Amino acid sequence: MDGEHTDKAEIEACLRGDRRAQRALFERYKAKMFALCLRYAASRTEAEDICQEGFVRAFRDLGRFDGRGAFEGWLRQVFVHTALQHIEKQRRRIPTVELDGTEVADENEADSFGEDAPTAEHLIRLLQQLPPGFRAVFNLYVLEGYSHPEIAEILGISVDTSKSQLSRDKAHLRRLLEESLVQ
Amino acid sequence: MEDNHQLDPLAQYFRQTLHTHEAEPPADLWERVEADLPQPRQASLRQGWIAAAILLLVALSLALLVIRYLPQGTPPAEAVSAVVALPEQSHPSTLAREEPECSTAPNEDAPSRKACRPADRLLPTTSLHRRPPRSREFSAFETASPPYASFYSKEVSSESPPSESSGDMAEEEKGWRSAIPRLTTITPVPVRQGRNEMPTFPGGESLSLVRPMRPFSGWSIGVCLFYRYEPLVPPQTPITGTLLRPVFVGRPQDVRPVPALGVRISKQMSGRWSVALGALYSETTRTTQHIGRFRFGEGRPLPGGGPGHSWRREFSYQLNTYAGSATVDFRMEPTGSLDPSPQTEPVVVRALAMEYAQVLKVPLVVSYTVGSGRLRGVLRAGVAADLLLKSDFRLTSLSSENARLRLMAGSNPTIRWVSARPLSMGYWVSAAAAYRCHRHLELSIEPVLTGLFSRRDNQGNALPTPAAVGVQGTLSYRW
Repeated sequence: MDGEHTDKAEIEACLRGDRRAQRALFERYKAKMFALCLRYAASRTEAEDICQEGFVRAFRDLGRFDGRGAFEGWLRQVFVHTALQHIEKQRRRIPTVELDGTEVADENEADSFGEDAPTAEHLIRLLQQLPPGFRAVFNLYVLEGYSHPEIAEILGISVDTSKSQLSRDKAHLRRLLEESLVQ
Repeated sequence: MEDNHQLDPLAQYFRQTLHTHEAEPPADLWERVEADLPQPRQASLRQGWIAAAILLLVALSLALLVIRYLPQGTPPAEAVSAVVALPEQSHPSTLAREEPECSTAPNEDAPSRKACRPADRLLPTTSLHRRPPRSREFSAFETASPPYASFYSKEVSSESPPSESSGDMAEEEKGWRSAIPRLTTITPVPVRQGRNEMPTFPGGESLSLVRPMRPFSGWSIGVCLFYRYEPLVPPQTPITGTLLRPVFVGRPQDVRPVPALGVRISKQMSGRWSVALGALYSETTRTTQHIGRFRFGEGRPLPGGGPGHSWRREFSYQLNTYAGSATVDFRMEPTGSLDPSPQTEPVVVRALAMEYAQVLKVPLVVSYTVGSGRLRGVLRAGVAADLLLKSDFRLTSLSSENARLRLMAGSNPTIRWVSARPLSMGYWVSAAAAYRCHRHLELSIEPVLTGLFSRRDNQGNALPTPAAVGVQGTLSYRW
């Protein structure tokens, strides 16, 4: 695949410290990675910080990429871990807020948004209203595809907590979504 | 990682919508990433420059040695030779125009062209001829004594000893005699010429020929005006730690060329090669705006207690500077004591700083001249030492852009300034267009690329090494 070859050549140049190659790699993935950061962050400013640190970490640890899988997948992992560390740092500073007053809704209830379907930006804004820990569980499970045991290991929580938080996440998001659509 | 999650429609909708979503980050994100990236290649690039400069100097030195000490036995076939031009007795106005008089025997003490001058300074040169094209016959004599040498030794000067040519050479002489019949009638005319005097004939008439010129010693001295422009200072290595935006990005407020005045002494070594030593003095004042972005929670909590005190923080950041390293310490607090700012409150601080430096740049370069005539090209390359004579740094203002945070009342920011080391080594590369407007005066203008290999402050911390581009004009006098 041409893209993979380009990636390999660019990665080798990046490892040599070539700024142009680093810039090219940055330009290629910045939009995807910034979107990922927006999902994990509470605000755009915070997403910028995560994105900055993610790229710095990616370039620093580029030698650890063994080239067997897709580079984008490896880069996503770096950004996810950076975002999680950021969230963990925040959790230590700000006590976690519990999602009070939310009811666990029926997961099988179908949603139909029709023509008024919310945009990605709208959904990100809803995600950003979740407490950091809850947001992390939702992102990891729904968007990154991790299992509950894996999430429990990554976040240092129990599997039940992970499941519980995900249920609360969904109920909260559903309520927020309904409210936003009504408005 | 599980791929087949049992997702409810809401989660699936989130996944479908957000999985391929892309968002444009801020335009300055790359600059911020680049500021945090380690710069290992700069060191190797610097080493590469040093290696290239050393190689260049070694190569130039070798070339100089080879050119200077190579045996100068055989002059090239195109060498221009002087001819003793004597009037014929029967035709006084006619000048002999054939054979060169010079000896082609190896001359160890003088360059090849000097060997072509009349040994007894009989007459100055009146006409120049190219030697006949090299052939097998001539080349056989060129290493020893050419046939016409013995011929002239007989004909031009009657006091000269008879030729010791062999029988074959005598035959050659005859051939030459027949080839140049007019020269056989030449009668030697004693002409006397002292040093720097016009040649005179016995009749007392002054021969208005070429006035002898005093040869140049190869030295020249010139005054230089060098305007250099230094681009933005590259970001320094960020402070280690967990800070996300630790570096104050410097934005020069008055980017303009810096003038430097100096002198240059040059000595022509051999042929087209010369060595030059210069000294350029410059005085620089720069105003730079430093912008720092960070979080309130990243500061150090101030010791002591009391209500509101836990929200006061102390910050210490390094600024990007030219002639040293500056660290600014300041304290911040929330604007309202009843509304303490959260730890994640963004802080933007602007600092205006003025930097002053006196630098003496001493380039030592090797020059190679290209072309001939009045307008020539000169390529120069070498090393340059930067002597920092004086440096100073002052913070003129510091302000917070966040309405909820301010600099702590009663606590002035402090600057810790460490000057750069007084001596730094660098490189100098230039290409000049030199115009000889007078026999002794030369005007040259040259674009210059110069920079430093490495720079450290007095505490050993690495400093940025910006390269400078500029234009230098030089008026030099040679003698």
